[in-house]
Amino acid sequence: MEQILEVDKLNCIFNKGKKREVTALKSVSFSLGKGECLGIIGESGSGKSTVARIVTRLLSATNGSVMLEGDDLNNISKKELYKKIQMVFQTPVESFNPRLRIGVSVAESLKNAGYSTSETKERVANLLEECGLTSDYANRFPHELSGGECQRAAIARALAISPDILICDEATSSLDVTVQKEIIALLDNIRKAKGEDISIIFISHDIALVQAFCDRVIVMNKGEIVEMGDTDEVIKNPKDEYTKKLIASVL
Amino acid sequence: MMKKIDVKKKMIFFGILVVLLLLFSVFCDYLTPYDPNEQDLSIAKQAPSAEHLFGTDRYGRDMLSRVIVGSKASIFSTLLLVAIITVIGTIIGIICGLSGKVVDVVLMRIADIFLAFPGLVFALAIAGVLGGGLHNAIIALAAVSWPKFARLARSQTLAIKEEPYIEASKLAGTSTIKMVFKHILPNIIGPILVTGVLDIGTMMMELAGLSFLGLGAKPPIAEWGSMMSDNRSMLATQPWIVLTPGIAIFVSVMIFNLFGDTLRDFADPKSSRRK
Ligand SMILES: Nc1ncnc2c1ncn2[C@@H]1O[C@H](COP(=O)(O)OP(=O)(O)OP(=O)(O)O)[C@@H](O)[C@H]1O
Ligand SMILES: [Mg+2]
Repeated sequence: MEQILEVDKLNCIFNKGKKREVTALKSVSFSLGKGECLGIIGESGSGKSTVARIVTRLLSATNGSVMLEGDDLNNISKKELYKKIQMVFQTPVESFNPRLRIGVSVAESLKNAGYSTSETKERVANLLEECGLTSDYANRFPHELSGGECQRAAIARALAISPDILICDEATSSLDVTVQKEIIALLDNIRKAKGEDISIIFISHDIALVQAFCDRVIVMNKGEIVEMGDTDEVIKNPKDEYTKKLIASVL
Repeated sequence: MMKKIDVKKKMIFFGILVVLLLLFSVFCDYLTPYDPNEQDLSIAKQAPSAEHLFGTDRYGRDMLSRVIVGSKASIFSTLLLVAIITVIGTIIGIICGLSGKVVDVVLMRIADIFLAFPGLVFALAIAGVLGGGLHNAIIALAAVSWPKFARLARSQTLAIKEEPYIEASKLAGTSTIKMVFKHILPNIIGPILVTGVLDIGTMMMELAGLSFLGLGAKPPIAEWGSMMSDNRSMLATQPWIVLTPGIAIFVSVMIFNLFGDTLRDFADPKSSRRK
């Protein structure tokens, strides 16, 4: 399989003043194939969001490299980068500016990419409908949406400029089980519709969801990758002690 | 809920007063019963009467007319001053909040230097160097007053710059300038505006103070502070000449402060005082 994203030996150390260092990532390497869905699991604080933030250049790694389609991430302009890679944030409601209507937030990347007003409007309406909302949600404010609806709007926003890579950071963790299922079904539909054109990094601490949705999985513990492999394999025959515990605690 | 409506009513009430005051100062030239600059020594230093409600000054000019006309210089120079420090402070504060360490540290140390001076003393020094006059008084007070707004804007910017919605808009490819106007400014402007309105009263007093010290408006411009100053020797004998502009300052400052207070309570219901 052709690789779209290659992450090599990422280290990330947060410096919080004198002698207070937090090592968030230790030599993290993995790759993402074209059209693949890669799960990242691990308990809270294991560094999952940090990986996502480095891959989207919201944060710079202390060292290590990330290659997107063979180019170093740092050599790609952010403008180009964000046409290729998008993220659904861990906190859906907070990821919308409280003072802007949903439609404006969803349209932001389109506007920046030079779409005309009428094109943008039509595309936003289509996106919202694709994501299981109606087009009049565009006129609502974030606080007028439920958590699940916000999550759908966030997915619509991330899909707006048809990225090649979609990162879902705990896209379902703040939702109840039935809504979780709907969101997963939505993501599944998107995958089916786009096929090879979209690769997904699915961050979660819910093993069952990852099992249902991901081709491969990475298990992280304290900033390190402790296990990596086909999802079913890893879950049926975990080799690492930590993975065993993690799976035992859920199943 | 009751309280919020109450605050809103109060805010509208004081807001109307502020608007009336502004209208008053805009149209003050048409509201004077006499020409404020016409001298008539035969009626100098007259006590308040039906003809001259606020009495007359030492040149026989009608005090009521002078106080009315004085509103223009006093209120507009104050508003100009507050507008200048709010805008400059906000711009510098946002730059500090968004930029890296070096720029932030340098600008904030400069702000600290200005903050460390006692405001009026520094203003005195500047007015002394640049000379008196209303313009220089405004420049002087602006120089010592912007850091407060810069600090406020900076802390507000720092507080929101890592919000997920800011990061989401970065991912949408939004440029920094657009980010400031679309996401940052609208979310930090509330407290800055409230502080600005609350500062109008203080600034009016400080401007009047500088004028009183002879470093602000120069005669024959009618300005409340300098009117008090010019006539201060007559406080014991003809008190109305000194007190009427003073009352005008007091009333205007009160109106702006009360409006600012209710505006703050409205913007942040948590801070509203118990009744
Ligand atoms: N800005 C930061 N400054 C300092 N430490 C940080 C910062 N961001 C993250 N960390 C630390 O890095 C580690 C990894 O954090 P991260 O957010 O990646 O965890 P996570 O796996 O996403 O957790 P969760 O499941 O709770 O979202 C944590 O120990 C966290 O405290
Ligand atoms: Mg996280």
